[in-house]
Amino acid sequence: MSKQAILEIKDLHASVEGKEILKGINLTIPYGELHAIMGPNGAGKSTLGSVIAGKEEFEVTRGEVIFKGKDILEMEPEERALEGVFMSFQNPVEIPGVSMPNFLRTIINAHREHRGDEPIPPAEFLKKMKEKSAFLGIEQMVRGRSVNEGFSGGEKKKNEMLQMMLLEPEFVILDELDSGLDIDAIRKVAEAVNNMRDSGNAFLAITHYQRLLDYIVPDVIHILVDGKIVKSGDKNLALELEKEGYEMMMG
Amino acid sequence: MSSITEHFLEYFDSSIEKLEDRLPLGGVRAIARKRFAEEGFPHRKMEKWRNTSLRSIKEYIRSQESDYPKIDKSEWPSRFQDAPVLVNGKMEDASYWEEAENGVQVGSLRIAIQRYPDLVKSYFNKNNKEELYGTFALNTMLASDGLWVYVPKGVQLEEPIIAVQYTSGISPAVFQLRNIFIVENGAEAEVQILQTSDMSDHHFIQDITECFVGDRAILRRHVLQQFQGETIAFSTAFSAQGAASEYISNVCTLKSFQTRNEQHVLFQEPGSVARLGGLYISAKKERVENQVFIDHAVPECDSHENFAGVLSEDAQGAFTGHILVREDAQKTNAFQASNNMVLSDTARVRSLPFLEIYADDVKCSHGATVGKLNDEALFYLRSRGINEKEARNILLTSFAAGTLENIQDEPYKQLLIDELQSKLSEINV
Repeated sequence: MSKQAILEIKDLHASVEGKEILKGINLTIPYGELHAIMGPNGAGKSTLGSVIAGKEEFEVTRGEVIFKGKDILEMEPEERALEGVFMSFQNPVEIPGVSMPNFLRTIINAHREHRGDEPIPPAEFLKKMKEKSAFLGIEQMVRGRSVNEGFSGGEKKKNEMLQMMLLEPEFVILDELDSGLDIDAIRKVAEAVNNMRDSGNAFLAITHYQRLLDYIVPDVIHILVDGKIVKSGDKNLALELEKEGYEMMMG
Repeated sequence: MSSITEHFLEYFDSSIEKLEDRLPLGGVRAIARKRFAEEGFPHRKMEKWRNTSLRSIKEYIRSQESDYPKIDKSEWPSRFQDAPVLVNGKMEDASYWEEAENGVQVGSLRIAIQRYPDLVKSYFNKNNKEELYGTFALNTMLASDGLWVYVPKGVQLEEPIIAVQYTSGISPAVFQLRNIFIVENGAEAEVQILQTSDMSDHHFIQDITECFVGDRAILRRHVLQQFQGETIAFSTAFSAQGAASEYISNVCTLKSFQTRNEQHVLFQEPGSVARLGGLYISAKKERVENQVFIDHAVPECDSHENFAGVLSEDAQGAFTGHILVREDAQKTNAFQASNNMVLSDTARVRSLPFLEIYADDVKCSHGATVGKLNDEALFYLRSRGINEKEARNILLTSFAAGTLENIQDEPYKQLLIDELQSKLSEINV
């Protein structure tokens, strides 16, 4: 018996400024699995992530994205987030003037309010923030700065992981999680992901290189070329790709 | 001569006795009249008056009186509810005067003239630049009262001095206030002023504040403007600084009809700093203008200007920042920022830096931006579960609050953040 799907994408077409980027994506991700999307630059990998998260500049022209049984394409990005979708951004934006603790408390409370819970008690919040940021090694950054302001590339990615750990989403999109990271940082963010993996959630890791998948081992790998998934397979597909390059898939 | 100028001269000539009776300034008014007659009321062909609408001023000239009902202070931020009020150009409590053992004086300018005529005379009009615009001479001609603050040598006030300038009454009128803040050598003081009006209001009010900052002295002057009625407000501060002194000023315009703020900073001795912050959040047909003139007349002084505007609907804003670095003013640091967020297609803002530099060893920078909310930042916040309205509010609040950095008094800063958020929630539907 096949496992229950958390996310089903059916014949998804999307364009930006009239140019079609996604040309009919079909993808099913069951609870408890981590899928990787690999592909050359410009294949539409990040577009796929953004469309699921609800970025408005992309226009969906056809298809469905069913999340936990509901089509989420008509939902606002914040509604999707509250339903349990989380995207770790490739390039997290700096937001001067919005302090990290305030930001983290606001997003935690938005989710609690959605569930009908009281706002997080200050002591509990501080304890959680301290514990998780210490695990990631960004305790100092989180205490005294504005959101992502003055963070290195690695610290920005760790900050994405911090938010993921605090919000405990059911579905996580990791958009180029390893870009700009050294090996130690990759190990750390991978540990954050692996600690969270369980039967109640699922992940979609978008990556250009096989390297990340040494640390975050996927259940399924999909190769995306020119807006379509051209091949799917197990983790060995990444090794094959490493050897042969994307050229062979594009033929 | 323009008809506005004529009207004011006629009005002055017919009311000079009453004016002197109210606030005896002696021959100063007549000199001001001469200058005003020469200069005339400003007009829009003048470079620095291009953004100021002057059409309706004529109808306000008839009187300096407007009957007003009992003042309803309940809508004012609480810290201002017990403060002395200058209502329609006069201190509400006509005998308001506080004098402490350490020599600090706070009270009505009218009382100060009665008690310390020579002291007042040695400061009055010394910083005002009557020769610059007719409006400044007009203020001397028609001045009726104001707030007098005198902090003697070495006295450091721990609590801010708080006051309100308020206009009310249904008949059109013109009010002219003259405030004088003196902080002598080594002294320190902070003045917080609420400038407001009620809904019935239909007035032209001009206040000029002359600030005298002694050697090693610190003066903080913060203004919150919330004009509810059809108030044409010109609010100008002149500051002159001694050696190694600090002048810090923050002017927040959160509600206005037509407001023109001017700050003129003069460095008279080396080693001083001026930090000016300004914020305007405007919607509907509000018009707000800020003019800054910094005169680096001596070496080794720093000026920092940080202005920001959020404009929505049909609001119009303008910022003109003139920095003059004179030939001798070596080792000057002058920084100017004017950042604006324009939220509608019909809102307008003009931002004009104006740098005039004659010294060569100078660090000067200016930046002016006009933009919209950052879509990437908005999406980032929304993708974390924050609804669009709140996300916009968070971004606008952080943008606006950047101008409040030069405010030390945390409760006052928090008050401004609360007030600016409430304004943002009104305009940001």
